[in-house]
Amino acid sequence: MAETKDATSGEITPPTETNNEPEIRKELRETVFDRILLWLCSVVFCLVLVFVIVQVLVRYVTVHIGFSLPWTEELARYLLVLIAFIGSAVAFRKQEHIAITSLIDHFPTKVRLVHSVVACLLIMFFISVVTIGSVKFTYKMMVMPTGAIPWLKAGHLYGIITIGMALIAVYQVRLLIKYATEIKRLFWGKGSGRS
Amino acid sequence: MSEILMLFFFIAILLFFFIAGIPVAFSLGLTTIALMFLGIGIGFNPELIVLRMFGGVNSFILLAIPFFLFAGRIMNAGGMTVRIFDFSQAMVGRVRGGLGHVNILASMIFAGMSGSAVADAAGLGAIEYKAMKEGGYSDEVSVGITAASATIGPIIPPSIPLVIYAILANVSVGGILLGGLLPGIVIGCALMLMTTFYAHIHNFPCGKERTREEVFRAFKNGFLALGTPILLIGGIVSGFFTPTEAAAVAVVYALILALKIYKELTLTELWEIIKQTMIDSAVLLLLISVANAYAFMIVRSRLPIIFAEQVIAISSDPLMVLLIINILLLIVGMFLETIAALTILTPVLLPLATMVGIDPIHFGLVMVFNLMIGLLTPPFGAVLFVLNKATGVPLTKVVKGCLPFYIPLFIALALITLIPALTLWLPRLVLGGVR
Repeated sequence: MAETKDATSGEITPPTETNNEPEIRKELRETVFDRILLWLCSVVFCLVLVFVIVQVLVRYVTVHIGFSLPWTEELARYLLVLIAFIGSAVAFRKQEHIAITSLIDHFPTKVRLVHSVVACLLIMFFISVVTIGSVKFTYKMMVMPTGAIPWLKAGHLYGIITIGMALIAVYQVRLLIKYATEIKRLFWGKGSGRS
Repeated sequence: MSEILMLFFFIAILLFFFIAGIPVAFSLGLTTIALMFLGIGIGFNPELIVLRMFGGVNSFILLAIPFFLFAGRIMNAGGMTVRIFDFSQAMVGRVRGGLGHVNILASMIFAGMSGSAVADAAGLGAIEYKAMKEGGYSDEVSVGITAASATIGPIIPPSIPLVIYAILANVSVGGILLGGLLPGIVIGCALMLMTTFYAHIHNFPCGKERTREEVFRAFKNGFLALGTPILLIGGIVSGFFTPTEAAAVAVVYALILALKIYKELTLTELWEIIKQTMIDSAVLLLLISVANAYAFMIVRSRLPIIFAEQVIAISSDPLMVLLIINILLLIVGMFLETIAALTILTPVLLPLATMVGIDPIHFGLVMVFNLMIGLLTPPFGAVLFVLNKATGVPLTKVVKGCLPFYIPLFIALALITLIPALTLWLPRLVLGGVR
């Protein structure tokens, strides 16, 4: 799997043979929380596939009876929104978001560590702005119907974005804690060779 | 604010975040916020960002992307890639430089199943490289042909970039996917011509003669795997499926082949593939979603119109405009990630293209192919990096190997640019007057 893992993620990380500095471990240790989240999103992914297939089957099998399931298409779309925002949070555990790291990789470890902290804070800033907007929408749209599914309101969908942003924030905090220990180790740690 | 200053902010802020190594999706988001603070386009408005982000992913057409990714993964893990390679070898392996041709043909067939050049390079690429290396080819030639043929992946349907373009440009997805079929074949032929030429100069080895039974066996083994592109393209051509449904059906077909018929995929492996595909899809979707907010800022700033007027002031001849756009895209493709470049540049360049009378479908293919060539050029060529990782050939050698193959790629680009009928004939024939 290791090979295909790198394959389609489109990661733009050229090899860093030139850099002999100690590596920063950017991967978070997998916790129960991570597993549940990953499991949930993957099950949702399968559900989306099932819904689309059901839609095709229903359309071609029952075209003469005049029976259709309009909610399959809608639900598939909304679950895609769920994958987009909650899956993005999961992607932070192994730093799988596409980033151009070829320049930053050439810097010494300490600089890169500071850079990672700044990147975390910038991401936090962006998600807090998005959260301001999505919380407002979540409340405002709680009465707005979406279409074929009576109980589902547009507010719920914006709620997914809010939850997704909150989850990304959780990952950023975890990353920051990790970086904090790394900083302690590298800057003030024993045997770092600094006088 | 003057236009030039405005343009400067749009590009400089984004580039700053990109180069600083902030993930692409968040670079786009942060730039959007920065532009709002600067009062370009529209004032600070978090609701608008959320609205655009939600709108960006709430699309049934977009669903095709995770399915294309999924199908590609199953093909690679389920043994279909190897069978397609064997099939190609049985077809064209005998001639001088045969493995080079096999490489290209296999990539073309694989392109009919997967929608991403990077997936092609990583899955099939490793097999192609190994076979060519064992067949007595040098590192440079093996990697060069593998990299160049990977660009066909997103041109022949299915294609992830083309689906994204279709959504952004508001053209028929079926139409643009069909439009890619002939150009993809043209690229393949151009590469094969180059390989033939090269093979005779450098005296490449011939493949070994195969008995009729061997050819028959390769055909029989590959036959079912070949069903995937037929199902996908045929389903869309006949109008039996929408592209999204075709993608879902292709996934199911690939699953049946991998799990039941070839039995090369276990359920545990499948679950791993599902998890990884989910994460890859989420990463792409978030990028598309945030890029939708950034694109809104571009449109709001009226920059595309201003840009179009400036270019038209130079020339309003469609060919001249296409040439200018080609040069621009080649430069951009060197530095930007494909999907990000596509989402940013489509709203900028499309008004110009339609103003001078270029068909949006034709324009989309020119754009995507340009960006694919960008995948082979340093400093940020994703295919180069992937091949370096998958084969262990040093990056400098990979780049050197690619050099001669820029020639056929540029010839193919010129053909696709200059002959609109190449892209437009098939969609018009099948779907009637699509735009």
